Amino acid sequence: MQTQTEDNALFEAIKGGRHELIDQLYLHHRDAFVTYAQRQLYATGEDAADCFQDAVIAFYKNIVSGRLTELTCSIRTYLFSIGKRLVYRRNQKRQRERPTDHEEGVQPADELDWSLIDRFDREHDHRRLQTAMEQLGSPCREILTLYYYHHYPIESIADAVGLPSAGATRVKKMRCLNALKQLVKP
Amino acid sequence: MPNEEQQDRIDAYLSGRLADPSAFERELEADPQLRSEMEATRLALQAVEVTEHFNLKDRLRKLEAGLAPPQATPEPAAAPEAPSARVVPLNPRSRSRRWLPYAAAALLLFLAGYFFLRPVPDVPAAYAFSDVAPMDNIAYSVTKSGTGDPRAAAYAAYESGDYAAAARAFEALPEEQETDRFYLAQSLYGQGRYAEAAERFAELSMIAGFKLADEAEYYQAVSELNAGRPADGTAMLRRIANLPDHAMQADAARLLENR
Repeated sequence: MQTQTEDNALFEAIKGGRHELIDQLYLHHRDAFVTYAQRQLYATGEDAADCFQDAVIAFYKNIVSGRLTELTCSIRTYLFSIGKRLVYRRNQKRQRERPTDHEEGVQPADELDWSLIDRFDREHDHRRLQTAMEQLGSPCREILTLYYYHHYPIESIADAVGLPSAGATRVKKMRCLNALKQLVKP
Repeated sequence: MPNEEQQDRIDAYLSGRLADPSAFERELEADPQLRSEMEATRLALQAVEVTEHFNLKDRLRKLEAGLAPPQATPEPAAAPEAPSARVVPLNPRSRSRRWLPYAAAALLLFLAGYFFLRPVPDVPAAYAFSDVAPMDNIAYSVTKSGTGDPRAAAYAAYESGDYAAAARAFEALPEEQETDRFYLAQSLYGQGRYAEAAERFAELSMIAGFKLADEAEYYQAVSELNAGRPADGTAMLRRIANLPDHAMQADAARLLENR
């Protein structure tokens, strides 16, 4: 188990833009969660791992979007709290259990933004949106992803995609966004 | 096309960072062109969001695929720590037998007391989980509490019922062993810090080869109940009660019966 100091260091590094650290988050807590979900939530190993992947992504997204600014409990507690809810939903979808009052009491995941997770339950127009991003091409795809998803500062994006200045990157970002708007028009 | 400033305001509104969203909403109502840009931006950002979510998901799926398949047989018990004359070997079965006469006497006393003091029948029954006491110290013989040994001091505080002091002492141990962590969790439980205790018991219950894993699982269930999470706690108790080989099967069944 990670200490609070290690958790805080990891949290700060993720806040600082190191999105590759989700691998570490996943590998560090995956086995414990899968065991827990199988033993206590009656999940299959596959469902448990899948839900835990979504939990790690949701946790990451809440950090970089600024919704989670400081840790009030261990990272494992957050991840388990999110993952547990996702497993409950999955179980209900598969009708392995009747809806329960499992969300009684204060949970760490309560402070997180659930719209980020709910959004991925709606699968009907994902394909169209992903196709639009494919058509957008490079470097627009990278610029918009770094800016809007990972919340990188514009100067870091300029370095990452090799543009000469922050100003040039801002102009490019506007053009890319306008192009994407045209592509996703219903 | 919006100018940069207008786009920044749309972005801030959609991400919930706009200082005065009501004013912006009034503008949206009055300006169809702004409303149309806002909707177009919402869809575009959704495309970014969905695409990157699935990219990250693919990344984690690949990690998952690269993990070794789970072993069919349980892992062998961890190698024992360096032997010490002061640590009593843990064996829940023989422990149960040694305390059997005392337990039987206590049960008789309890039943007699219950017969005379039982609640009137029309009072709704409740789980007796709040009466579950922290577990006795069965791991460490406190014979050196006056010698400055910090582990002995921690267990002595635990045995005396000073759970706050015991928790501090366990947390300060330079080399915390799994058994120490178990009694740290018990100390938190004894103080009524149920949510923290549940988290620690959960970790201990999943350690392969840990001899108090069953006890940890049982106390996790009771901690969940006391922490106000009845569905979790009850589901765990039911599971334990259905496992004939579980060291705490009888305790879990009894607790469930006392509804």
